[in-house]
Amino acid sequence: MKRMCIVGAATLQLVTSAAPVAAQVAVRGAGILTVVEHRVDAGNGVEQASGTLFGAEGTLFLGSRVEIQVRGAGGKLTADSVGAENRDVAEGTIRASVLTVPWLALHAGLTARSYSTPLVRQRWTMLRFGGEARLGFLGDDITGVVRAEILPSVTVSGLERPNRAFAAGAGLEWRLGAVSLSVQYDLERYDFPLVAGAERREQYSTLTVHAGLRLPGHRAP
Amino acid sequence: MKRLAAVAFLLLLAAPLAAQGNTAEMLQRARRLYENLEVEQALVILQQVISPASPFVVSSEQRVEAYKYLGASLAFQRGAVKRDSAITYFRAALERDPFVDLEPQNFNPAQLGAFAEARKQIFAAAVRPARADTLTPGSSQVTIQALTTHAARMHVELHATGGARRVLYDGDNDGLREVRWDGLVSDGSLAPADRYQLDVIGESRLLRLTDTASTYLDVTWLHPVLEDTLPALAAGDLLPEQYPASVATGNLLKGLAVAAGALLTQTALASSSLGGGNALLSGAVAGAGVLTGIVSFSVRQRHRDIPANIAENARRRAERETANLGVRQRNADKLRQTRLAIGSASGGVR
Repeated sequence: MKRMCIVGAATLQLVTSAAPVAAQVAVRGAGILTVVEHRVDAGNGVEQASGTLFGAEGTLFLGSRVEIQVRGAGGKLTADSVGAENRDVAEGTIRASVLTVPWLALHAGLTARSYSTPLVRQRWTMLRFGGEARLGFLGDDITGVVRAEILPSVTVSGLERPNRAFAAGAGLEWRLGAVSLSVQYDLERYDFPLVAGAERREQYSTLTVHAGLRLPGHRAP
Repeated sequence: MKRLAAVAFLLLLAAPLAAQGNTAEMLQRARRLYENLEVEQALVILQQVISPASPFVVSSEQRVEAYKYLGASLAFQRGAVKRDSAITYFRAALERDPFVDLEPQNFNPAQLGAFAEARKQIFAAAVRPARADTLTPGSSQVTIQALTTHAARMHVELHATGGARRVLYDGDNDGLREVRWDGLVSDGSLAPADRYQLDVIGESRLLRLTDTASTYLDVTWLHPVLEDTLPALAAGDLLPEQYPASVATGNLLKGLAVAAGALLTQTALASSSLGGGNALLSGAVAGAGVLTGIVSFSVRQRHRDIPANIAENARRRAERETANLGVRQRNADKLRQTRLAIGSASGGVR
């Protein structure tokens, strides 16, 4: 917990020091569609469910170096394997990023997610820290993204904390004036400690498509 | 001992001055005798002045003066022999200084006739060094005195070491001529600051002789201090107007890096006990990455121009050109106020 606080404080300091005093502010709103595949192995074989989430995302750009992003999505996952149950998923994420150099952003964020069946609701919270390489193509009209995150603090209702959790992904964003379109593949992996002779594993894979509009239209230099 | 040496040195220094002074006194005495019509006595003194045995220093001007008055004294006397001798002395005077002349109000027709005959018998062209002057082109002129001893074709030309030239006179001449120069050279432009040689070339109409004389003058420009124009834009002052060829390759590699990131996440980071990641999801991004890389590579290969940099460079060039235009206009205004300072330079000949 102490380590988490130190990392959080350092990130907050990085964000506040990077924000220009008279920052040029811009916002981007985006609709998102996420194809999800959720796999769980609690010792009884792999249970798999998949489905589609719909949501929205808002990003506040403070100058050219700081971004604050809020995102929410919800939908239904359908069981794809024996033993799995259909469930509703809702999640929300808040994330702050700082571009240390134009091609590298460091970020910190918090995600809350819930899986609901008619009988039970499981709540997850994940604190995440990571970095994102942004690779500009064709004069920055296209950006390639490769990201990696550690999730140092994950809480799951009814379960022990996972002893290892991380996420990674890659994607592309195309921009045409104020309009942007992106596609992103992400994978979250959670390895839980051995309990009653079984090691629980969970994996949350997503393919997210964003369609966004940025105001004002021009990008911050 | 030291005092003695100093006195001896001063005496040595003073000796030529005293000698010149004696020659001047002799010439003055001779002129006075001549004016009092005591010609024989004047001739004796003048002969002493020009004699190689004269104990006194005789300057070139004093020698010319002596020859002139010898000629005048002999021409004053009757007889052909005297007249011939007079002409000989006048020639000697003219050979040493072609500008020497007899003032008509001070000499009688016989003397003037003998002098005119002497001028016919020798031929010389001469020019006097220009006096230091300041010339405002277009509104004032500098006067140059050139001469041929008798009827001749005379060509007066000014030419600078840098190549600029101007013919000031080309035509017939007899005697002294004042040639005027307005400070312009042959193409009508202001004479550049330079050292100029003024040549006078005379071709005698009476004798088959040609003579030349030259003098030098320095021309400098007087005007307010001019501004420097901005230097030419160096490579470092301009933005690159084209992407290097490596950018296209870089775009392809970036696309492949995105694809590799997606596939690596799906294969290496996913849990093997859960059957790995979903290849369909990662494959979609990997495919998009590869496709974007290839398209970007192709587009960048065919379109390497950077329009924003081209426009910015054009703006910088135009800005510099505008600034230089202003400088040139202001300098032109200052140059229109230019005056020429003309000074005589050493090296003049006759």
